[in-house]
Amino acid sequence: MRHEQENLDACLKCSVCNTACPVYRVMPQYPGPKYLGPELERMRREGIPTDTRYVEYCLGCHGCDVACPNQVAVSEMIAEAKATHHKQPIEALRDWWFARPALLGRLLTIVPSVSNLVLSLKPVRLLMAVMMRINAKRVFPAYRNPDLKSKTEPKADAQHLIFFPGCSIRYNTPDLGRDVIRLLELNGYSVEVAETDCCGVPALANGDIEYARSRARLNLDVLSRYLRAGAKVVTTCSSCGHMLKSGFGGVLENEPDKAEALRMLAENTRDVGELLSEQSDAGKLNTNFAETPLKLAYHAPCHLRSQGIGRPWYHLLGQIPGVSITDLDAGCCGMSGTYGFKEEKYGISMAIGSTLFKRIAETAPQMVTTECATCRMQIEHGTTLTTIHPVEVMLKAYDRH
Amino acid sequence: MPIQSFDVVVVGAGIAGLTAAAMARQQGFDTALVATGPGRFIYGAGWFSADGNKDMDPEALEKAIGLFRQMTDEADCAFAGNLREPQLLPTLMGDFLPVTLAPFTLWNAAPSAGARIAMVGIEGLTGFDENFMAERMQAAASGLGISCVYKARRINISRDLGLPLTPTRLANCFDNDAAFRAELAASLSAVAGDCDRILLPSVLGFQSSGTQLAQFIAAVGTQVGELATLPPSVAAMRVQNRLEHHLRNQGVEFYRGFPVRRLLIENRRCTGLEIDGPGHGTTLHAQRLILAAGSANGALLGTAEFQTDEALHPVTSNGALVANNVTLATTTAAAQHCSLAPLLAGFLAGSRMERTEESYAA
Amino acid sequence: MESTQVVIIGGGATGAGILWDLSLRGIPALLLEQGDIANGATGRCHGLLHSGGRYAVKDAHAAAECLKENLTLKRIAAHCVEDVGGLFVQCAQDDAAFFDQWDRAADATGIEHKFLTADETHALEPNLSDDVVGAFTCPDAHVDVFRLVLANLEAAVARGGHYATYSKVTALDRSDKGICGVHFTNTRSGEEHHVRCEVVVNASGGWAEATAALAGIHVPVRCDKGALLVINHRLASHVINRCRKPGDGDILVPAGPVSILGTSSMQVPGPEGLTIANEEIAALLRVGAEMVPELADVRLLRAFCGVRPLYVPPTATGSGGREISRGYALIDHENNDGVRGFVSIVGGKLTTYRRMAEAVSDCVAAKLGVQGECKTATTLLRPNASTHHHKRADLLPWAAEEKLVNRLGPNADQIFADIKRRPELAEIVCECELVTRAELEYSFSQDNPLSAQTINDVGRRTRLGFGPCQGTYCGYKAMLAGYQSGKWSAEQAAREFATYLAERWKGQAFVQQGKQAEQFDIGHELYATAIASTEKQGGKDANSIL
Repeated sequence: MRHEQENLDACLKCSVCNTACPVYRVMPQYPGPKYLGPELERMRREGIPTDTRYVEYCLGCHGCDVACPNQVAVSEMIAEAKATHHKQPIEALRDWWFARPALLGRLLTIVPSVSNLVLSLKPVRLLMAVMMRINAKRVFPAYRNPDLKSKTEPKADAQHLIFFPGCSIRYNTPDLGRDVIRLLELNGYSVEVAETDCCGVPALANGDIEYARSRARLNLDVLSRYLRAGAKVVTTCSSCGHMLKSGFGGVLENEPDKAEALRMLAENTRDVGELLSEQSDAGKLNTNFAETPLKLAYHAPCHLRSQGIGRPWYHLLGQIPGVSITDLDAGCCGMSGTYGFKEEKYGISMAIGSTLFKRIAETAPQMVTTECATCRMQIEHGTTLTTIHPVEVMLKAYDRH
Repeated sequence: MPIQSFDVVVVGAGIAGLTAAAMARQQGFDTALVATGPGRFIYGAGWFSADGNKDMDPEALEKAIGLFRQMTDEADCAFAGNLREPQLLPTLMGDFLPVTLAPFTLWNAAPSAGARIAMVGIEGLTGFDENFMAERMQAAASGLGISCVYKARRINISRDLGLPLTPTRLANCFDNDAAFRAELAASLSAVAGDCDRILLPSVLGFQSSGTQLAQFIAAVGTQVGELATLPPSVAAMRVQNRLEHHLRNQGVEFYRGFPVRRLLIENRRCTGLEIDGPGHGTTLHAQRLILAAGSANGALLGTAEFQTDEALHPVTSNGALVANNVTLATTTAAAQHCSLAPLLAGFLAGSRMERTEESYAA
Repeated sequence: MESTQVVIIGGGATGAGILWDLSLRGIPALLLEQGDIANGATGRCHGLLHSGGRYAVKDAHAAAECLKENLTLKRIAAHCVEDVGGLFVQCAQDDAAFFDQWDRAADATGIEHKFLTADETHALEPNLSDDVVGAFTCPDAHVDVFRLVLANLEAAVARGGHYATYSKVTALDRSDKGICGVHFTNTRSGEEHHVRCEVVVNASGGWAEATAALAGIHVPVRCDKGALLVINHRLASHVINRCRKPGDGDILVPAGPVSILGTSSMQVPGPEGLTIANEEIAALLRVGAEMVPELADVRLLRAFCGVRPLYVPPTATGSGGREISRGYALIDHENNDGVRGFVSIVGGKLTTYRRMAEAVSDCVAAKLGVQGECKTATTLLRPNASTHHHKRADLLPWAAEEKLVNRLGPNADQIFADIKRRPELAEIVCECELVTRAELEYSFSQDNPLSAQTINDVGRRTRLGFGPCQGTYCGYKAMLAGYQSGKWSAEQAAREFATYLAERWKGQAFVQQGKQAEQFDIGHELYATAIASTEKQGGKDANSIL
């Protein structure tokens, strides 16, 4: 859909992408997506050595892609440049781990209580700051025993869905994962959790295209079986959703034998909110909601906006009696997954998020709701508020009934 | 209330689309706006020139301008100007252009008899030279018989905003940093001298409201006008941002960043459209459709050769009606650059919306 | 200057080459060019440094000459040449016999070539059509035509040569000793000048006939127009030639970040007032797409055309422009027409310019009684080019630094010193081509022997405005730089910019397909009204050629 070859030529140098870039807004030396993407790409095609000094400061938020009047695949070009960037040894080692949350998750959930304890110790965090340049102020999410088995039973004639949980749910919030399954079952679906690996977004973001490719091939293999049987794949992490819908960020572009499978995956992936809003429009949403007085503020994750599906959860939650919900409409939170953990990027991350934090303070909600796990992390880090996944809100409304 | 069904779907977020969407919402319709980029308004300085006015119906234009001024007042990005008295405003070449409507900071840059104007540049700012502008505008004003005096001045910014310093970086800092705004106001104040107006390149923020700008100007203590620069046009983007934000606050649903794959038309009736996106795309159902996508309208209708009937419905070159619930925001007059034509087009399309029993709005 | 020994009329590759050759021999000379450097055919061609492959089958002599010069220029003008290599590709629909013929002819001429299978060819150049069934490699290369001319001029000036651009010759003085003086006008200021000399060299290409007429001599030059298209990015990393009888649209050349497709051939009345028909462009794209399918709808930045000045010897009967030999003719008018001190050089091609300059300089030296042989084949144009190892200064992004060093060579050191003193000079003014403010200011500087007079001149020296935006953003900054350097008043600066934009827009107007149409529109959105009002005040396009 966004064919890169054509896209380079689609750039009109209008600079709208620069005005949409959260990093450009706060980092004076950052040259901006227009330069790092299409302009340097033209030089790369000429075979000139291009330095990649600033490419790793790209959030990968796709704000540039969405803002571009001509569908230039700006962030894809920058992601490819990231792969050629030569890092300092400390950052290289750190980013190697950051690119592999599934591996990290499997290791840290062997004995999660120990892992959580160690990661919360101040001396450990200070050491990590020095030895690995991981910001000491950031709170690591707790790791839990991965257990995504549903505790409830689906209806007999339920439509079958394949759930792609993603690493955050699998290793940090399996309870949310079980809640997703329950929510879908309450709406007439039966859900199977696929034995998938990481979607590859952290690998791409950290410049490890080869690893992203290997994850893509693995996941495609696992999911193709289900897709051929006619099942739909659902996600609730916006980043995983974007990856599945975009051929894993285009990393398998040069493998034409995968094209058909990638297309099937893209066409048959749904964000849970997207799925339920389609159900709602068809009159099939389970609307057994109890009165749920809650003042919520909604934050749309960048990787939701880059899917072009509107704001399904915002509208769904608005249907719950008692819920009042405002859209914060404040752009990027600044976390971008592993980005905000990095010492050299912490300041930028918080500067970007400051607009959102201010807007939250002005709105004064009880809680902030958003689909993305790292957006929730950032909001809890930058404000005193608790955050909640929209699925949890809807379940609350069912449960009170 | 259906989530992906609307009374009105507008395609295009340029001036025509924004105006049509505002009107639809004002009439109580559940409205969506589908667009890729921001349209062509942002390529210009942020104003509507008077060129081409004579080719447009004055009564309709008057109403369109009235609506637009109301819209921008509500969005707190007020415009100044009217049809009868175009103002001469400076272009980035330093000559003057007759302008009908402009955001008030751009409007403030008009020359006037007897005025003493400080033309202020910023040290290190690329793409702008206050001496060049002062020299050109002085010559242009004299040529027009306007006796005003331009004096070139320069201020320094203490913050490190990177090199080169660009209007975009200054505008971003203006948006983010109250201390910077205060420093800028103080610097401008200091160079105003005996001048009764200050002109500077357009850097006063991408998000600032008219209220904030008025506060800023009050802090400077002298009237301040903004000048057009190389793209991206800060003043134009500011208007775009505020109008979009305003529309969202009014409940217009934005589907941003992906082109319309096709219109769903059957038996001369449009039932909606498909938006191309990652994955399977998104289908929106619509009772009415307004096409305000400029040069992309033809592709959406499947033909470059189309016309409109009196109700502004699209009609093929053979005279066959394409759909009776699609309205085109399009101009028949050859569109001059930065003209009022898109505004008029959006207004005319927006005025054609009829309430029917099938409206989804409560 | 009141007098010199030789005046050279024409600042293309040949004229500049002659200035260099004469300067190397210690002969004082002045070159006069009516526009900016490379105003004629030199600045309006592919920039292809032929290996001779294109002529091998039909004209073995021309091929051999090309090959020799190809190898010579790669040595002496290394910093102007992108040694990309070339391919002669065989399309399935082409005459297979010609492919074999080519092979034998290349052998006979001594052109180094290797056969590649279809797979090997496509692996090397993935954008080639599936119809391509094989290819021969060859030592084709791309030469930056402006850099080449500038290199000759720079070297000549260092050896005492002189040149002046925007200097149009209006009359020649003739005494019983022959041609002895030249009258010329500065086309920008209107000032008239006169210089006495002993020999005048007519190296004015498409204008050679008009120049000779000033001496009352008839030199028949057929003007054969070729149109070319600039493609936004590199479609191929080698020069791609169609291996068949030479025709239209069968060469694609990688030229810096862009590609150039050409060309056509049709007779025109003269070297000015040229235009390109839509059908010509469509034809070029149609044929080109047979080799590289993407050409069918790729973004084109502009179209341009130039005139091949073909010498029509009095006995020639051939009708087509390609049929007339691409060989050159050196006409000593003392022998031919009884006019002493006047020599014309007509025809030829870019690749053999040095050889042509050698022939002319030998002739001129003999007339002046100056002994010594031509040394241009063995003297580097930029003395330290090959040994100048540039240590990365890290003041600029690498790509910008690489381009700057390639362009300026040893002069780059001064630029880096300037940037250290004034960090704002590191600004990338032309983002499409990565041209720095430092280089922009240097272009306008009095200290620069090759300084620019107009914004277009800056473009030829730095590639500013040659990229996708075609000067929309950087042209304005270049205008301000000219103003800030004190060169122009604000009024003059605005007029220069209007002229510049008119030229940039003319080229784009012919190729408004796809995205370039939108780019064009943005430019108009920004400047149309300003340009119109400036034009009303009498801005004129000095260079009326497309």
